Amino acid sequence: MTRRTRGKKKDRSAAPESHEGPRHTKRRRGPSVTDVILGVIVAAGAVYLLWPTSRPSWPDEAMSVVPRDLSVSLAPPQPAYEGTADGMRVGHLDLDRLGAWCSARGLPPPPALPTCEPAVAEALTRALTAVSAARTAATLGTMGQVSESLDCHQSAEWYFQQAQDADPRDFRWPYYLGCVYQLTGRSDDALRQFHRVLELNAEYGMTHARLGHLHLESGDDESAENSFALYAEAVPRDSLGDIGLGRVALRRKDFAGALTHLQRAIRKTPSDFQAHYYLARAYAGLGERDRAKQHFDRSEKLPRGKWFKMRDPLDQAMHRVTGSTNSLITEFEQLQHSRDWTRLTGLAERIIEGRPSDTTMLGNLASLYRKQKRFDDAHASLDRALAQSPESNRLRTIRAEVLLAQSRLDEAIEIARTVVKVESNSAAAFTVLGRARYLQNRFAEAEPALRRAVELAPNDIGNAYVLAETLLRLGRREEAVTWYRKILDADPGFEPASRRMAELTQP
Amino acid sequence: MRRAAVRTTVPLAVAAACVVALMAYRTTMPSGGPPADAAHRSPVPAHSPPPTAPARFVDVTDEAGIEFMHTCCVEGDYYLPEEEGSGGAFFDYDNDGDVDIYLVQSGLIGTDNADYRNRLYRNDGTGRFVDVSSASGADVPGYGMGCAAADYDNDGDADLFVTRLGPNVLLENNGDGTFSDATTRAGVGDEGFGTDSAFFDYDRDGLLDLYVVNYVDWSATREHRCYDPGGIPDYCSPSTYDSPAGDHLYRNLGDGRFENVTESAGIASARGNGLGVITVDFNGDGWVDIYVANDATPAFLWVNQQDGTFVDEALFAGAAFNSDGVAIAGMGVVAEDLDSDGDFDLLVTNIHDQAHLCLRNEGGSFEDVSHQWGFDGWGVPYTGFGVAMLDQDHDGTLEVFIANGAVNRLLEPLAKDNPYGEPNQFVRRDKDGKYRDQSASAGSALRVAEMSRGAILGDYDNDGDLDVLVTNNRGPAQLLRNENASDNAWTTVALTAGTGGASAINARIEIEAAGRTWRREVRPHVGYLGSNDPRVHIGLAEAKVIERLTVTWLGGTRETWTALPVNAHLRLGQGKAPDFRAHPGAVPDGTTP
Repeated sequence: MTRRTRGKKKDRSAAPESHEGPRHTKRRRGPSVTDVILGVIVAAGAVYLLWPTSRPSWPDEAMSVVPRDLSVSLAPPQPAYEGTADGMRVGHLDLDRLGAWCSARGLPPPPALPTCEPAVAEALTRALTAVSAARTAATLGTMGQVSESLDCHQSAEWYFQQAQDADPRDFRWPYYLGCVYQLTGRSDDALRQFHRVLELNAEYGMTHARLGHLHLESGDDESAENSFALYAEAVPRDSLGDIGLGRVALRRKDFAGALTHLQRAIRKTPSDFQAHYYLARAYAGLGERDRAKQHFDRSEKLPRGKWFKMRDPLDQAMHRVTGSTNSLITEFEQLQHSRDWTRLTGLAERIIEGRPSDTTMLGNLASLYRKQKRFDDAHASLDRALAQSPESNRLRTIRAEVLLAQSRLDEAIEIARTVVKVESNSAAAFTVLGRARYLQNRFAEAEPALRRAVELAPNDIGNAYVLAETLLRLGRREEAVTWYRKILDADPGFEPASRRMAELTQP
Repeated sequence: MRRAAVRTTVPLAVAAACVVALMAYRTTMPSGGPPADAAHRSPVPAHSPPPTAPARFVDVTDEAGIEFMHTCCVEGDYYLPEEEGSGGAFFDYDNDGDVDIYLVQSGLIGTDNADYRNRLYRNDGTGRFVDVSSASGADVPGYGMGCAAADYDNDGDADLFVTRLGPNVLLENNGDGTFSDATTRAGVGDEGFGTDSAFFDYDRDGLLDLYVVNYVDWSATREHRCYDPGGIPDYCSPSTYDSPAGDHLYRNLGDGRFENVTESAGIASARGNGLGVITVDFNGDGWVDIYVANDATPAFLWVNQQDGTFVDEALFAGAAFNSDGVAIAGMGVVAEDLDSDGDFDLLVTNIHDQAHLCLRNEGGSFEDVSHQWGFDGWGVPYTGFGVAMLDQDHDGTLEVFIANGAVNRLLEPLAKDNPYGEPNQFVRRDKDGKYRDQSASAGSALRVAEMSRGAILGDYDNDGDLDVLVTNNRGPAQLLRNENASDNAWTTVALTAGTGGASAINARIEIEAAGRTWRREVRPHVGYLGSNDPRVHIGLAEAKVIERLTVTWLGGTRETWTALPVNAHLRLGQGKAPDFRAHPGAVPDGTTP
């Protein structure tokens, strides 16, 4: 049976104090010859002491790819690398040696990563070396960032605490500490840290948002209201403050007041799932069940994700510090709604370089190629993904979308039909079915597929438009007009619908 | 200048001498790196209990004769089902008055799993269990997930329903210590990725119906490749598949067959990544409703329409999401009246970095009180699956036992011995009403880091307190004996309904004693993938006698018994005189068994 001891609280009395740092950087003269000779002895001895007594069992060819800069400059046990059959590069860390190395320096144990991707191994080794060389707020903070980006909250807490001690005037360290506490459920500690941040830098808006959230959780509505109002003032273009104010109003059963805040939030960020969710709750509180249902449905279809992280530059900086594929994915997710296809494609290609078997990203990449009409590349990407996950409905649907974009309508229909047989709630597959049949002038067959697509994805105005066009071609002008109206209600700027409405309603 | 040179050179000379000395020492040191206890010198020390703290739970697995190792996976496959199972049951299959143990095995995906079979352990009445798996016929193979035990055919003995990746199995208890596979006749061999299940009587016809939760429309050929934060392959989140499954509802026809009423009852109208289920009359209308904990998709609250159909009211009732509007990674679920207002509140376990979800029931609508009631800090670092509420020390207040185990590789250094292992937790309610972690004083059994899944309650030694059966994914099952040292009073209540002795699932019990009132419901199918001892256990604190015990049978009939003894296992049949078995030496003066 595997056992480990529990341990969440750290004993500060056991934590080593930061003795090193700035004073070592203030040398007033150059080294003497004796110093140089003794220094060489110390360095040679240190290298000898730290060098593994028995080499790891990895094959020599795997060891040969240790980056030169690391092998020259880094003190901790070096990572080794190997290539896997699918083309992925994997870094190996000798955790026992690395653990001993950290322990000897009074540092927390390293993350339990016997294997990891090269960027992570290198970021970790580099950050540890920097801490070992000089315990400055910057080196300690960077190691905290590396730890936290790997979900190692205990280590991150220790490093951020040390960084804060090393430079108590830098607001970033209490901020990161607050984030760690908030994430690990230590609300009181988090509140203390964020208040400290405000003393150091009241300009960083996310502090107000995080405080608001913590107050809301603890039931302190008045403080929550105050914090969210300050956020709304500090970051007026973002909806988070309005959503928070709406939540406070909901808690007070002030449903009309909540409506005002949440409608404002939706005007700022129409695709925020939280805004729609709380708006639905406000409508439900007012007894307007249909409107509530409409916004619940919208909320459910919108991407969720971690709303703090998406808005928090410091949090993003923390995750970028390793340069890992995970950080690229975070960047990709943040850009996903930007329509910057070129940049997204570049990111997806880099992610696939690191993770050649990532079927999710291969699918995303295929979709990006489709949007740029790089159909051969799209199919190649899907071939790779489907070779690993041949029955993935998501991948098959993307294939159908590519075929639709190529006007290979029969093939697209065939695949989409296969998907909806097993997955009756796939909006994307019904979209392909409906649009392909529309393009084939098979309007009667297109209608039910499009209706289902609209039902499953009510925010997709494009589908609603094709449905309206289909109804028009089926001679059902009144129904078509109703749909054009619905589209223009949702998006008054949707030009094809307004043009069509003008044509249809002119005498 | 001279002093500066000395300041630099002397330390360097000392350092050089130290280096030479250390090099000399190292040549005599055994190779192989640092001492094994290097981690113990970490500046992030392990949290250990005070040495004098009394253990509340003791691992008695070995002495009880339970030898069960869960098998589930091949390293490197990372198939989604590998991390979900499995569960088990405390139930009295041979009606001899003590609970036996059933444990569900998984096996290897893509094989017939003939070598990986479920196990049945008979309680011999002395606290030891005998493996009767193969003689009983309950040792079915197949990639098992969970089970529910109840007397579906009202013949007086408990049957078993086993969920699996693939067709589920109904095992009918023959009443002679053996089981027969009744799946085909009953028509409940759902082919999906079954997880939790619950027997209950939704149409109040005296027959137990069956709700079966399915997780994801999954097959090995639909598997994806996902990665941990270090960039190494790991298990995927269910959201990756974007393929939530539909649950099934089966209506018991009373002749050994069930009718699949999923469509007609309205259950087919929603799909989710379902893991846990509980059946409770949430709105107090006398008809049993259903709550399903879904993993990263909105939870279901199927409100019984009293006409054989259900409507999912979770969104409007505030039960679909947590207070942030997020569909939590719902796993296990329990319901108890935590605010003593007469209705049952919900506690749903959640993934790490998110608080467990506690929903206060206000007559059928719910409010997220996770933070106000203290279900936040202590649970956040871990991924909770099994959850059980018990009065461990009979002080009249419910504690919580949570079975934890990660779903993604843990990179926190302390977990390096078992990359998915997490310690389980025991949580008590403080005087301010908040729940706080008391694991440190609960015994060393709670410091074992396993990938725990089920936390199943039962008084296996009939000593009046509830013990815990923990099921561990890719680990051994653990039987934890409750070492309750208090003198507080207790009772267990076993109910049978109707003249035929049908199961009384969802009947309500209200006990008045010593100026206090306790409310419970007969509800063995709670938590995660498991089935609890069907007897309802209540800690009675200082009470000397149960002044009044009222049962509200399903259908609304009420029946009251008075002046019942404490510290006794009570058996109450609808319309019958009470029958009780006192714990030896525990009957207080003034009562006559």
